[in-house]
Amino acid sequence: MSYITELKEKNLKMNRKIMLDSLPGFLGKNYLVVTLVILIIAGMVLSNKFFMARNILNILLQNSMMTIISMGMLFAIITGGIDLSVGSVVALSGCLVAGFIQGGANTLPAISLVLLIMALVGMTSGILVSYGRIAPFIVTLAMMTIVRGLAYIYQIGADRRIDGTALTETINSNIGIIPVPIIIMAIVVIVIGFILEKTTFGRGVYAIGGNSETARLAGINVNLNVILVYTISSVLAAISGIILAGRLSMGTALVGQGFELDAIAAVVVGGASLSGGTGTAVNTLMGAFIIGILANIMNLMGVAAYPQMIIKGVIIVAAVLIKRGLGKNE
Amino acid sequence: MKKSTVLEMIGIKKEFPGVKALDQVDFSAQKAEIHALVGENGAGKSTLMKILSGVYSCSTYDGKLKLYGKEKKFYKPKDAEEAGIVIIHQELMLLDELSVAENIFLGHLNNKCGLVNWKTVYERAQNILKQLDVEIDVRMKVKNLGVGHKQLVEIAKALSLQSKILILDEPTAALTESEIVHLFGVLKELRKKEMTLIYISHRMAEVFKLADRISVLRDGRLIATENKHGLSHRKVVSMMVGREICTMYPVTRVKPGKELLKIEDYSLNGTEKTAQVIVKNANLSLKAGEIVGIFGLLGSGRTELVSSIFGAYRRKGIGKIYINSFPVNIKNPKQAIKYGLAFVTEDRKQNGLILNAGVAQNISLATLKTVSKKGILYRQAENKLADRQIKNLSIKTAGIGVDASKLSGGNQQKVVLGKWLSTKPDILILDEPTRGVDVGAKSEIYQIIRDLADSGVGIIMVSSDLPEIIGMSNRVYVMHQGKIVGEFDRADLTEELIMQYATGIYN
Repeated sequence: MSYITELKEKNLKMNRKIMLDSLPGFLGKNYLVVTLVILIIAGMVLSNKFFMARNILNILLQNSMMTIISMGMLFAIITGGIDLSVGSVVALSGCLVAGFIQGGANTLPAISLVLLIMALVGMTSGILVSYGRIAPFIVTLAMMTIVRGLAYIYQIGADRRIDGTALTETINSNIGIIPVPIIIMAIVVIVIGFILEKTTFGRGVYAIGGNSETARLAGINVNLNVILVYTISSVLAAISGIILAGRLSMGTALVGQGFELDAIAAVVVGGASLSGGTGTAVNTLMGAFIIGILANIMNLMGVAAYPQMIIKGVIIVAAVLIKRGLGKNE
Repeated sequence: MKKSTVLEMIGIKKEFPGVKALDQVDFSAQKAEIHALVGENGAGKSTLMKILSGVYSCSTYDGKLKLYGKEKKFYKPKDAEEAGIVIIHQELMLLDELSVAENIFLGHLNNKCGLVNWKTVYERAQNILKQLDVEIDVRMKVKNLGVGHKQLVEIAKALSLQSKILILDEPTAALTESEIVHLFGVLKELRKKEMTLIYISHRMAEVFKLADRISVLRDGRLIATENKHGLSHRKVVSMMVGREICTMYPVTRVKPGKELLKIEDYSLNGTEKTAQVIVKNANLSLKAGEIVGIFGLLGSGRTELVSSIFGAYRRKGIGKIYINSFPVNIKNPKQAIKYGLAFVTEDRKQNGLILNAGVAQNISLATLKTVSKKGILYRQAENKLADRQIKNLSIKTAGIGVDASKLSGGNQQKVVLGKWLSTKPDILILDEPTRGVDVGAKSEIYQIIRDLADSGVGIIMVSSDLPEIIGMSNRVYVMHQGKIVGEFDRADLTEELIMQYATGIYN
């Protein structure tokens, strides 16, 4: 009898030891997935509304715009830069697309023109960062206030409502049961993931963030790549802005305040380092949804807006600390 | 009289991913001895000392560490310090803006409830320095001291901790003759006080002047620990290297072919501020199958010359460059690569590698075109390329995904070489190809370079290592203050001759 219990105990101890040994390694690689699963389980326990199809679609829809912006921010951060202008670009592109449609433009040309203009905005930032050799933080900070100013000037005194137009109809419609913005988000994430993982351009972007001098000496056109990165970031923010205008049925310069910081938060929670060279589209997606699901759970539980801000801040710091702690065991 | 053993390190084994840094090293030191530890770069000296001083936690290596016969476990430098072991690094760890006394007692200031009793602090500092026979004002800021005095302050700091074992890493590197004499006096004095001193140095003369015993490390193994009197300079050097020097350099089997590269009247101006000419009217030629050495001291313009040929220098050069007799105008590295040039830079960490990227990604970086189609990468092709370079250059790594930062210096250098060899260059420029590389990898790299030349590649090798330049080159250009001041064939080369031109005696 005592022999058997001894054996059992020994067995138990060994099992525990194996678990403890391999657990940190497992967590180190999959901590984002684990965090998401924990959050989802917590949501199910805390609120019976959480796991209903409507709520899930709601989470996806609400975070689709932020995820798209984060994909652009990810590009900038991988190169070791940052793009603070994305929130303003959201506002201006919303105003412009609404304005163009009010002016009688068809939906597609209006959207194309807005994307083109915002591509030029991003390109300007990129040129200033690469050829102008000004820190990305400064360039995009300046661009943030310039673009925001333009948005206000364009919007002022004008009513940019676009109720009932093709754009609002499309953005607010579903394909099957899935709202259009979610589908756009999915396409963006797949395309960006593909560009980063599978193309020479993506490889160049990582190389620049890892060591731009090494990249230059290896024949990579660093300046061109940097310009493209800020162009992409701006275009993605513009896509978000257009979606937002569609959802609000109006263009307004008041939206997008602080979006740049939320996007940075998503990228950082997704494990990218601000010093560049790391980060993936899938991890950034998970980063955005960790923040999004947490907000959703708190909303369902009736947590007020201000405490939510505090918790979000704590989560950002915790994410970085957890990543660092687990990274050691890899 | 048999001295008592203070320190024993038994069966020390330390691995970095893919590399054995230390392999079954047994090292011991006695009371009241100066024990010299010698070995080439990368032999494992600093790794061994980092283990001894607790920089590497005892959980990261195998083997035992005994002090006075008792096994000790150091998890952090503080543990070693408390056990009486202090290391004085080559780069001194003093705080320039604090006073001498503050530096000596940093972290151990005499205080009552957080209030420092400055009078006793200064007195005690003064006393310790007196033991070292140094007369400096302990209230003075450290930044006002010379290197020699700074070193003594470090030693004073160690004494204030009552340390019994003192490790000195290349302490004389930056000292003047008289400072060295004083330091040696101090060290001998400390030996009389029954301290154990472990002295790491490259300088044979000093080692023999000072040490009681000498231990030689090579490629992570302890080759010998012997009494000084049983050894000669030559014997120690041959133990360090492990082979006769002359066999390190492979002999050419091939006659140089047609001219690949020619540079005529090439100049490089400095910035407006300095208005100094960096390279002046350089003429240079390179044939297929040839290794051309460029020797120059610091500031001679050797690196600037080759990096501007590659289009990598900040400013454009003036003059003519011909590749295969065609005049070319290379504006950036991308074009240089197209013309068949490759450039292994001087500082692999600064601009040779992406440290946080994998080996495969580093190797494919300059040839992304060959592992992709229309901008889409083919991972299989990339991995194959990496595998091939790892095999051909015998790069020691745990896998193609291992970060470049985790490799040893020699293997990192091989990764950089692999990156450039993947571009299949006609002209390979090497800037200090074996700096910070251990002896074994060095001779491998020499063989690789020679094989490349024999296969018809033209090689320009910039180096400040005289034996290397002489051993490897078919021809050597010597630079001094931006000018090529001499050109010599292999047969005429001597170290003295090159040095005379490089220092401007025949300018």
